[in-house]
Amino acid sequence: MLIPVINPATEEVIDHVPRGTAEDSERAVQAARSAFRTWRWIPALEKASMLHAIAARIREKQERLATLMTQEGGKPFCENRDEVEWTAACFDYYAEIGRNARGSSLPPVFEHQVNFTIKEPYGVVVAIVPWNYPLLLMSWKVAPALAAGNTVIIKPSEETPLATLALAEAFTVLPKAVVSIVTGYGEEIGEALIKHPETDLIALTGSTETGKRVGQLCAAQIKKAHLELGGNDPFIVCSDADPEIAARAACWAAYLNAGQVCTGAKRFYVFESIAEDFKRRVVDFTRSLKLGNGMELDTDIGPIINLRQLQDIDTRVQEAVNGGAHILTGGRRSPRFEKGFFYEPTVMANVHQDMRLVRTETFGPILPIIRVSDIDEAIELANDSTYGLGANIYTNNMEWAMKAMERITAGTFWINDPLTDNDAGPFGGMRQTGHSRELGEEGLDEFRETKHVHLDYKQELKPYWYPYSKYNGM
Amino acid sequence: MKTKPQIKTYRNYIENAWTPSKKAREILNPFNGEPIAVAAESGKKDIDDAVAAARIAFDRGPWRESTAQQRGRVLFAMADLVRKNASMLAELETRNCGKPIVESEFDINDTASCFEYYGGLATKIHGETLPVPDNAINMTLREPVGVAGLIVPWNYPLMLAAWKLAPALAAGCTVVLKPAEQTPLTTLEFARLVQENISDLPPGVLNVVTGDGPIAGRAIVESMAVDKIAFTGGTDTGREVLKTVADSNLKKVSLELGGKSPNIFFADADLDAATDGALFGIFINQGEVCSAGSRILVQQDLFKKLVGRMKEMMPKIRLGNPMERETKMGPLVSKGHLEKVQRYIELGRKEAKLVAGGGRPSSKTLKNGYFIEPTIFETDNTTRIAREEIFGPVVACIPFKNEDEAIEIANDTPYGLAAAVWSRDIFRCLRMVKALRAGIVWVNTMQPCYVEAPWGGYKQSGHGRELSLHGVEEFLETKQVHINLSERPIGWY
Repeated sequence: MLIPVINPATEEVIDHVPRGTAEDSERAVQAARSAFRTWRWIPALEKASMLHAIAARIREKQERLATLMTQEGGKPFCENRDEVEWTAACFDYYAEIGRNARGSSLPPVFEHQVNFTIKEPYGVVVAIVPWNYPLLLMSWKVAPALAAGNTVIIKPSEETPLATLALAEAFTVLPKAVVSIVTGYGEEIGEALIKHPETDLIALTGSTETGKRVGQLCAAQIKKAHLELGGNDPFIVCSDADPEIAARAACWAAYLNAGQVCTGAKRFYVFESIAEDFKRRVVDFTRSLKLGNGMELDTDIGPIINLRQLQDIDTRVQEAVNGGAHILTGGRRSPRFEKGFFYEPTVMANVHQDMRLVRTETFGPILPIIRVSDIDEAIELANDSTYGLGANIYTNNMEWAMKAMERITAGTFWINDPLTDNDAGPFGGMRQTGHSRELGEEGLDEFRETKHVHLDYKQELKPYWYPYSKYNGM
Repeated sequence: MKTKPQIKTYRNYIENAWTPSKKAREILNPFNGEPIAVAAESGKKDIDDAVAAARIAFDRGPWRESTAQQRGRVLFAMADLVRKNASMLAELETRNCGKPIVESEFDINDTASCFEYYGGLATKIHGETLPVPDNAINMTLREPVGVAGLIVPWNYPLMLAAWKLAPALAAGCTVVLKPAEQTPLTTLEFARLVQENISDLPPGVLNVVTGDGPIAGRAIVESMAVDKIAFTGGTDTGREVLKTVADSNLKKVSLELGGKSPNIFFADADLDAATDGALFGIFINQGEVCSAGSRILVQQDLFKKLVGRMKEMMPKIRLGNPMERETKMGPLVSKGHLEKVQRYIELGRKEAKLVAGGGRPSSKTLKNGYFIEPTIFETDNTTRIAREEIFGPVVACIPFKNEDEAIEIANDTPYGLAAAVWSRDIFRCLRMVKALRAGIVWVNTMQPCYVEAPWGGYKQSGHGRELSLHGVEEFLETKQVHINLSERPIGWY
C-alpha cells in the first residue's frame, strides 16, 4: 500500500511512499539489532570519519534536497537550503564530540580500588521526525545516536518523507542497517516500532498529544523516551527596544516556516508605551511580505502543510475574533490562490491570555499582541503556560533581560536575537514541552547509558562479610 | 608600676609539633606600632626541615593513600574549627593586619566556606575514560602533585592561606605553608587549633613556617624536594619565583600577582550605584587588595559628576581603630608599606591633580598607626600612579570619550587581574566583557568573590587560577592509563 505525498503549494501528488506495516517494522528492527552487534564496537575514530563523510554527501546534495523539501513541505527554498547545511553541520559536530569522552574516573572510597565509568549505547534507537524540519530534526537525533554507538531506524513524517529517503544514499557510507528508514503513519508503523520489544529508545519530535501517547507506550515497557514536544513561546518587547528592529524580529519569529516552528514566537507581550508604534510597524511590514510557492525566490512565506492544519489555524483565529480580538491584517485563507493551503500572515490585537489561540500552541503565521504595563506583568503572562520551550525578549535593559531570563520557565532564552540554534548549545523544553535535550554534549548523553566499574586490585576477605559473629566482634 | 604585658611566642609548626628556630621577629599591631607577639624567623635549615617532613609524609605517609572522603572530612573539620573560633580569629586578624573588624569577620566566614567547599569537592575530582581507537580501556587518573609550598601575602592572611591550603589538601598534597612575615598570627593559631582538634591529620601533612621572603620564601621556592609552588604576592616577586624555579627543579607554579584593575563607568550608569561601586572598589581593605579598582575610568559626560560625588562621600570613609565597628578604614599593614604609599602620593601631586585626601589623619589617637587618608587623583593613563600598583587607598580617575577609548585605556597595562564595567546597556556590557583582557570581569558591581568561581589573572597578573574546580586543578597531576585488552603479541618483528 502506498501513501501519496502532496505539494501543499499546488495540491499535486508528487510521489508515493510505502505505507509501512508491523511486518516492515519487524524487518527493520531485526536488521538494526544485528547491525548493532558490530557497530557499537567500531572505534570512535572510525565512526567520526563516517559521520564526516555523511556530512559531505549531504552537502553535495544541497540543491536537490532543498528542492524536495520545498515541494513536500512548502517552506521557502532558502530556508530549506539553510536547513540542509545545518543538517550537515550537525553530523560534523557529533563526529568529533563522540571522540571526546566516554566516562570519568572517580575517587574510590577505600584503598586499593579503582573506580571509573564508561558510557555505552542503548542499542536500537527509533527516531520519529516531524514534517516542519524533516532533515534538521532527524540529524539532531541520528547524529548523536550514531556517535554514541546506537543503530537507528528513522521514521519521517508521512507528509514529508522524500528528502529523508533521498538521504539513504548518504547513509551508505555506514555498515549495512546501521541506519534504516521506514515510512508510514504514526499509528501504524510508528507504534509498531515503539512497542517492539527489541527497540531500546524512542526519540520523538512532535506534538504534545503524540508525545503523551509515545510516553505512555514507552512507560508500559520501561523504555527510554526522549520527547521534544510543542511550544508556545512568548516574545516580550520592552519600552526601550528599537521599535523597527523589534517589529522585524517579531515578524520573522512569528512567520518563519509559516509559523510552523516549535520555537516560533506565538505570544507577543508589548510594553504599553511602545505598543502603538510596534503594532503599526508590524502591520505595515506584514502587509509587505510575499505569500507564495516556496520555489519562487522572492517568496517570504509558503503554504501550511495541509488543509487540516490550515482549518485548525483559522478556527482558532475565528474563536479569538468571537471573543473580542481584532484582526489588523490577514486572518483568512488567502483568496489569491486557486490551489494550495495558503494562510495570510495575521496580526491580532485586543487578544486575551485565556483565548485558545494564546493558551495552546497555534501552529501558523499568527502574531497576537497583548499589552503589558511592565516587566513583571510580561513575565507573569509569559510564564502562564503549560509549555516551556523557548522565550524571547527585546531590550537593552540588563535588569529586565536578566530578570526575565531567570524567572521564565523555558529551555532556551533569546535576548535580542530570536530562534537561533547552536550545535553546542542544548535545545529542549521544560514542563509539557518535553523531558530531554538535543544538541551539545547533553544531546549525546541522551543516547548513552552509564556503567560504573569497580575494581579492587587486592583480593582479600572483607571484614563486613559473613560470618556476622566476627563482624560484630563476637 | 607598669608591667609590660606578656606576649605570645610562636614557633614553626613542623610534623605536628612546635619547633624552635634560631631567630625570631616581633609581630606588630599596625594601629599603634606595638608588638603583639613573637614569631620564628626561619632560616634555610628550618625550611629544609619542614620540607623534609612534608616530603616524607607525602612519599611514605598514609595521606597520599587516604581516600577522598577522609580528606574531605579533615577539611570539613577545619571549616568547623574556623567557625567555632571565628571571633577570636577575626580579632587577631584585625590586630595583626589593621583591617576593620567587620571586614575580618567576613574574611573568616569566607575562610570557613572555602574549607567546606573543597571538603565537598574532594570526592568529586574526576578523571575521564577515553575512547581511543584500539582494543583497550583508556582513562586518566588525577593524582596529587606532591609537596606544595604555599606562600601567602599579608592583605587577607588566613583567607588566602585557605585558598591554597584547602585545594592542596583536597588533592592529597602535603604542604609547607608560609604566611607573610608581618601577619602570621591567624595562620599559626589555625595550626594550633588543628593540632589540638584534628587527630586524623598525619604528621607532616600541614607544616607552617614563618619568616621573610628573601630567606624563608626563597628556601621553599628553590628546594629540590618541593613539587609545586602556589604564590600570591607582587609581580616582581612572582618574576623571582619563576627564575628560581627555572634554576632549581622546574616545579609547577601558580602565581596570583598584582593588578591595576580598571573600574569603568559609562555615562548611562546609575550615579548612586556608580559612586558606591567606585569607592568600594578601591577603598575596601585600605586599598590593599590585588583586584582593587585602582583606575576609575569615567565617560566624559559623567566624569565631573562622579568624581564630585566621590569627593563628597569621603568624610564617610571613617578612619579609626580597626577594632571599632564604625571604622571604615584601618591603618596600612606596616611602616615600610606606608612610606611606599606616601612616595606614590608625592609623585601623584607632581604628575596629576589631587582631588581629595593625600595626607595623614591629624587625630591624636591615630598618630602612632600607619594611617593614610583615602586619596583621589585626576590624571590620564600615562602617569606612574596610573600604571604602577600602589596597593593602598590611592585611586587614579581617568576620563574617556567612548567605548573604544575605554577599552584601549583599560587594556593598556601590563596587568590583567580584574575589571568592572558599569552601564545599563546590555550590548555594551557584553562587548566590554569580551574586549577586556582580565581574569575576572564584573558587570555593574565590583569585588564580589566566590569560592565557586575561578580567580586569577591574564598577562602579568599571574599564572593559573585559584578557587573553584580550577583551583584544585593546580594541585593535580594527570596520569593516562592505557590497558591493552588484547593478549596477542603485536608481531612487529
